[in-house]
Amino acid sequence: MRFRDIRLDDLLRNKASFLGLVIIGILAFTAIAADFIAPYDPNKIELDEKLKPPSSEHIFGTDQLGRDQLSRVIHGTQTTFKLSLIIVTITASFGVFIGITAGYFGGFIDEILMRLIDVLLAFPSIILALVIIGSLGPGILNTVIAISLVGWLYYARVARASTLSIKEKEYIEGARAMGCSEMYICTHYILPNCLPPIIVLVTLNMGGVILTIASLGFLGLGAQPPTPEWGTMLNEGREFLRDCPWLSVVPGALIMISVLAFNFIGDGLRDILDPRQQVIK
Amino acid sequence: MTLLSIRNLKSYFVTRDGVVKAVNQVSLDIFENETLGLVGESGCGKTVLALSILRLLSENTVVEGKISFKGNDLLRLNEEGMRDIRGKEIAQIFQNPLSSLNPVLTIGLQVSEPFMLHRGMKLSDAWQSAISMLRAAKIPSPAERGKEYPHQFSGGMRQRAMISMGLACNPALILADEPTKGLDVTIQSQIIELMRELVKDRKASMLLITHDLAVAAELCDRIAVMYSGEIVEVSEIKDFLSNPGHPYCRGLLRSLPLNGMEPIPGNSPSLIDVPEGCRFHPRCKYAMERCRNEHPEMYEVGNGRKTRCFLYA
Repeated sequence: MRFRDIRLDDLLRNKASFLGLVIIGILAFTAIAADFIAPYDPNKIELDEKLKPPSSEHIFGTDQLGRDQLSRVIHGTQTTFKLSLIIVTITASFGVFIGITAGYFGGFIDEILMRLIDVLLAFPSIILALVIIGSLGPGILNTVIAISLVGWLYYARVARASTLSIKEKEYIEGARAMGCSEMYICTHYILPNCLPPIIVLVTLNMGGVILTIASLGFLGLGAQPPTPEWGTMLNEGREFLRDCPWLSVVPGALIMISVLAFNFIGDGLRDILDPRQQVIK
Repeated sequence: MTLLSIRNLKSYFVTRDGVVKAVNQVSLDIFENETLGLVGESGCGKTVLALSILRLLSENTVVEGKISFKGNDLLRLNEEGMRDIRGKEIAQIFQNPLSSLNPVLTIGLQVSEPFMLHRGMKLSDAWQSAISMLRAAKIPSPAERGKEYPHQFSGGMRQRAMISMGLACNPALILADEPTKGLDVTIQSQIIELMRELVKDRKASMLLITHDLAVAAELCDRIAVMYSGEIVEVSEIKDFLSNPGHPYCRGLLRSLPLNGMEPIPGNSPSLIDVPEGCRFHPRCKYAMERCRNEHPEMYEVGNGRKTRCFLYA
């Protein structure tokens, strides 16, 4: 199964991944168009309106500072999607680069890189991220750095494993017989052939990254108030959980839904790419 | 004129069970404008010999000797110099066209690659050259088929694409490693015809590796026979077919269906543990006392013919 075999209609045929695609589509649109569809300024404080329950004016109510909760989750979607896209791009490209280097050249380089990854994987990733943020200080930029520093490990492993099997293929020998340089072989032969599992990993990883961003936000280590961010909002709403549950329920539900949606897509992609589960048409 | 001259080539693989002497003291000349057949049974070192020429063997292989090509010793050239020769001066056509094509690139793009690598062409120019190469290899409607992927091609078409890739930069020497393997007889003869045509048109030389004597008889000017890592006979193809010298070659010809399909008794020896003396003596019906103890040289038999057998000493 190869990259070009991923077809959109296969994804749409699978109910779960179809649902996932629809949800992610809506959320992505919300994130891109946040400035236009949010009814209020997410940071506009109106203390007269604070802690209002959902109404026609404020669909998801208002928070303790009278800010419109709907506008805040809409902008929160933007924050989360932007951050997770940046993080996944960094981790996937760096991880794939390291993985292909280790797998293709092998030997000493491989040994060093893989042992380093083994050591880093021995710690739970959230602990490592906490340590890094602890030393760098909280904030959005540091969230990106912390999650990226621990996120590339799995990509490197998967890319290395694919590279090991691809580099023994005859077309690699053919490329060498044609006079291709090692660099050219890596970028034009190894990379495109090891993309399919990486794509599955990216979609599955998106959910995990969203969850980590939210966790760090919830712990007060990620995005700082007043930046609208789901995890931070969840934490702010915690104090008023008994009287104003909408403050926590809405961002919490969004975190759950978006993680679920990405996992649905990832599962769907994995099924498509797994030749054993192919339905004979 | 000699184009490529191999002298005392040794390619050894060091393994846990011992040293596998896949190519042992091989000396061979390929002249300009000729097709030299290299025949022998499976595992006698034909492919390793071809891979040694382009230095494509894995790093744990010991390769010694001298391979002169256009004033260079290929075994002493640096990696960059080798890259300039691979695909440009010496091209290889592999035996399994499906697994030798990159599954994620279109055929046209893959045939464009040698033009971009060795001629410094831009993609659009290289693509045009690739399409005309595919046309020369008689692929119907090459402009459309160039946009297809290897899995959309049939076996014969894939081999045509491989051939156009190999010939893209007008190499002086083509190493064709069983180019007709796995193809049915009709396609085989088409591919042979195509290769003969293209190679003659371009005034290139070819080393054709095969175990099919019929293919060799059709395509080659001269033939070299390998047995257990050694060349045992080099001869003009006509002389070889009418009057083979070495007892192994006589056996080979007699084993053809046309000549009664008489098998050669025994098995070819393991390359780790080769027999003393002449390597063929345990299976040879002419074996003498001398064959058991002494290793024969290549003896001149006349008309440029050499045979590694004491019968001609």
